This record gives sequence, C-alpha cells and structure tokens, in this order.
Amino acid sequence: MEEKDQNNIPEKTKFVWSHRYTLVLLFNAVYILFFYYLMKTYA
Amino acid sequence: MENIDWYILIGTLLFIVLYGTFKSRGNQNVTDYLKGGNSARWWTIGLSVMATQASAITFLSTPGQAFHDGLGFVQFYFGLPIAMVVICLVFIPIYHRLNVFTAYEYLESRFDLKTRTLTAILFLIQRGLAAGITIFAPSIILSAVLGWNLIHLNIIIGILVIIYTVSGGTKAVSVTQKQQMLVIFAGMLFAFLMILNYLPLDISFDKALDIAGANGKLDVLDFSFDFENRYTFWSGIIGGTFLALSYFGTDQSQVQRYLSGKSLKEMQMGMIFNGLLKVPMQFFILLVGVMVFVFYQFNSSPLHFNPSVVKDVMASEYAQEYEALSSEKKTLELQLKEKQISYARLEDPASKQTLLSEITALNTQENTLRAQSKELIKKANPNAETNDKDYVFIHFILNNLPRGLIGLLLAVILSAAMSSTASELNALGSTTTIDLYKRNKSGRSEKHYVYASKWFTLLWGVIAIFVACFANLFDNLIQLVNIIGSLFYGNILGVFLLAFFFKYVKSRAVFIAALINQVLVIALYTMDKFEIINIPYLWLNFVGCVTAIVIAFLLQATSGNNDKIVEA
Repeated sequence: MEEKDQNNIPEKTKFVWSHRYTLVLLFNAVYILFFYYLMKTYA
Repeated sequence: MENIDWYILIGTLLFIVLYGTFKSRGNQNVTDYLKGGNSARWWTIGLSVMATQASAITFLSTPGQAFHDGLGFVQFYFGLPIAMVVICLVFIPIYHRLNVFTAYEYLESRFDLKTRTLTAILFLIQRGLAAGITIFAPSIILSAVLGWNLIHLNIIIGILVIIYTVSGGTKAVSVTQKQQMLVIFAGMLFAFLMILNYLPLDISFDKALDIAGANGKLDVLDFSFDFENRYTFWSGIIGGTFLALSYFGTDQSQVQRYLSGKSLKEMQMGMIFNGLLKVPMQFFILLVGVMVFVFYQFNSSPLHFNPSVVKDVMASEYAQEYEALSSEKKTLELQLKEKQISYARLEDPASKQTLLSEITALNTQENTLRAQSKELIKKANPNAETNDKDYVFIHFILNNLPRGLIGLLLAVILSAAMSSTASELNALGSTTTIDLYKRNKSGRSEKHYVYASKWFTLLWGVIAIFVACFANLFDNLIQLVNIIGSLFYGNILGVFLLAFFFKYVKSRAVFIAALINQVLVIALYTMDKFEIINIPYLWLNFVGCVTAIVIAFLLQATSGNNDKIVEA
C-alpha cells in the first residue's frame, strides 16, 4: 500500500486574527475580574 | 410528584422528541444527515455546542459542588475562551477548507490512513463508554431520590434519544438542543428566583451573599501552585486550555456541531458565542448552589443528601448512632439560623466579626457531624459512595420547589442528559460510517451511507444503554470514564497540533510517537496509582500532548526524511 505524498500538506489555509477574538478574551478577563472583586467585597 | 409535574415533564420531553423528528425529516444524502445540510446558523451552533458539553451531571453536580466548596470550580473553565479562539483561528478554517465530515478525516489528508484510523478508534472507545455514563449518571441519582427503576430509566432516556437522533441525524440533534437549552435556562433561572424568594424576609440577595462570603463560599480565585488542589487559577488556565482544545477541537461529538455550520464565519461565530457565555453560565450555576447553601442556613437539611445510603445505614446496627448525629445536627441548625439572622441584621463590623467566629464554629461542628455520618455509612456499607454533592440540588428541588416547577427542573435534568447523549451517538455513528465503514467500502450510493449511518447510530445507542445498565456493577465508573478520557485526549491533541503546526514531522514519526506516547501516558497514570509519582489525572491532558509532540520530533530527527514511503 502506497502512502500519500508527505509534501502534500494542506498549507493554503490562512489564519486570520479577528477583533472578535480579542473581544472574547477581553470580555472573559473582565468577567473574571468582575466576579473576583464583586465576591471579594462579601468574602 | 404531583400530576402537574408529570404533565410538564412528559409533555416537555415528548414535544422535544417529536419536534426534532418532524423538523429533520427528509434527509437525502450524507451531507444532510451528518452535517445537517450545512444549514446551521451561529446561534444554533453555539447553543448546540453548549448543550453537548452540559450534561445532566452539570446541573446536578455543579450546584452541589458550590454548596460544599464554593465558587472556586469556575476556574476550571478559564481556559475555555482561549481554546475557543485557537479553534476559530486554526482548527475550523482547516476543517472547513478540506470539507471533512469528521476531525479524523483531516489526519489522513495530512498524514496517512493508519493515523486517521488510530485516532478514530481511540475516540470510539472513549466516547462509546462516556455515552453510557451520560445516561447512567442522572439515572442513578433520580432512581435513588425518586425511587424510579434504574434500568427502566436508562432504557427510557436511551430510546427517546435514539428516536430523533437516528431518524434526523445532526439536524435533529441541533434543533432539539435549541429547545433543550431554552428549557435548561428557564428552569435554572426559576430555581434561582425561587431560592431567593424562600429566604427569610429580611435576607436580601445582598445579605445572602454576605452570609455566603462569611462562610467562605465566595472565593473565586486561588493562585496557589498546590498540585493537590484540582481547581486553581493555573490548572484552569493551563490544564483547562488543553482539555478544552482536545474536547472542542478533536472530539467528534463537538466538531460535528460546528461542521454543520452554513459558512466558515457562522462556525466561528458559534464558537465565539460559546466562549462568551460559558464562564458566566457556569458562574451562575455555581451561584445557584451557593444560594442553596444560604437557604439551608435557615432551613433544615439532612445529615447526608443521598437517601439510598441513609436507608442502608438506618437498616444496620449503626442506626441509633446515626439518629443521635441527626438530632445533634438539628440542635445546631436552630442555633445557626438564629445567629445567621443576627449576622445579616448587624451593621457594626466589630460585632459582626464576633458573631462570624461563632457561625464559623457552628459550621465546623456541622461539617464534623457530616464527616462522622459518612464514617457510619461506610461502616454500614463499605461499598457505599459517601460523596453526596450530586444529591444536594435534587434534594432541594424535590423538597422545596412548588408543584409544576419540580416537573420543569426534572425536564431540565433529563433534557441535559438527552442533549449530550444525542451528540455523542451522532458522532459515534458518523465516525464509524465515515472513518471506518465508508473508507473501506467506497463506491456505494449516498442512500446506502445514510442507511449505514442510521444503523451505526442505532447500534451505538444500544451499546450506550447496555453500558448504562451495567455501570452500576462497577465502583467509581464515572471517574473511570474521566480517567480514560484524560489518558487519550492529550495524545490525540498532540497528533492534531503536530498536523497543524509542525510540517517537519511526517506520518511515520507521528504514528509511532502516538503509540509510544499512549503507553507512556498509561505508565504515568499507573505510577501515580502506585504513588511512585504524583500527577493528578487531569494534568495527563497537558503532559500527554507535550510528550506526543516531543517524541514525534525526536523520531523524525533520528529517522530522516520519509517522504513517499512505500510500505510492504
């Protein structure tokens, strides 16, 4: 059985950063800090 | 349960099953059946991904976790948004461009058939067992508290899922998951509002948080490097990212959800939706558990929340000792209630501090009584599971919520079980058809492969019910399935990361590395079991991934170029 050509690696895909990804990370950082400080006021 | 609860429970579940079957009728080809005709919009994908991850145990166990240990469990999800971004950026564009049906199909185009087959088989073993446990876990709890027959419940949940998953495929799974998430969100919100409503009149939400905080239930972040502590900021960020990357990026039960998207952008938006909602959603579920804790500061709670093990101890020679502990707890509860009300009313910080010390002392005494009760349970039945966190929330639901809402909350639990199981069966059927059957029996008609997918989905459904029915015979089977997942996930993720990022490494090196690494990960786990090393099993996801990459690199470096290898 012949294996496929190992140089035939999919390399056309472009990885494009989007502002949406920045927003996801930013929002989660804000959630975490918000939960942390809000709960800390009661803890 | 009253009649109205039964009407709501049965009505909700039947509506979801019939709606899913009706909306997804008329699948013509494999793309329709396995990728929902590539018609899903981003909100459908997002809800479907969330519904797949949130099994019944999420809604039973998570509030119980918060009841005992507070909000710290939320840290487990901190890596998820990072993983969502990596999946949107790398995984989805590649899968979309190659128009694959399964994640493992991509590995053949990048490496070779044997790497694809190996990862597909590892997935089938791990997910096939997990599907059974997804059914079994809520069944065992509901049968314990409601007295329902465990086997009947396993079969009913399994058959309901099989009906719409087999008939409608991926589209049926997606459309039902939207309804199921609606039921889940509504049920949890009602439960939360009802708990607040049940608190004493002068205990507002603000004061309830004050009480929870005073009892150490609101500690969100733990920055310690304690390897023994499973939930810290670091394990959440590092371990959580790797676990979420493996689960959402390489587990077909999740990959299939976004592969059904209408376009690349819809798929990415669906995952972003999940990345935005998951942490607040888990925080909210934990907060419900914390409010249940506050509720039980003013109301009587059992010494142990699992009624079946209490029944065992009450039928044993330790019944009197258990009774004595129970009455001691009741005395403590009265004192605690009085002091909690005083604490919530006080404004002076110095007086509050004094009272807080007294409350903490009473809670410590209560915890000691709970620990003693567990010892008695263990003595009465050495095989009994003494951890009762899975039973806290269901105990609250059944004993406190009004008629109708009990039916809705039970529908939440069963909907969650069904939504996760449906995705699992759908993925198991798809992987068996595409990666094993179609790959070896090509050239048949589209209709033939659709039928084959339906039969394989049905077969996996029957296997899942079978596993669920026999799961009770094994101790700690749920943990066993999680361990099996951790043993395989890191290795599979390592193979995918090699495929995406390291073009230098070729197929033979990856395949041999995956085999060696699997043995290594199992050896590490065994050494941990025999206390030769200390590595909690969740960290195996991270370690397994890194070692897969390192071994593949070493093998590639020593073997040289193996382009265009001809095998004998």
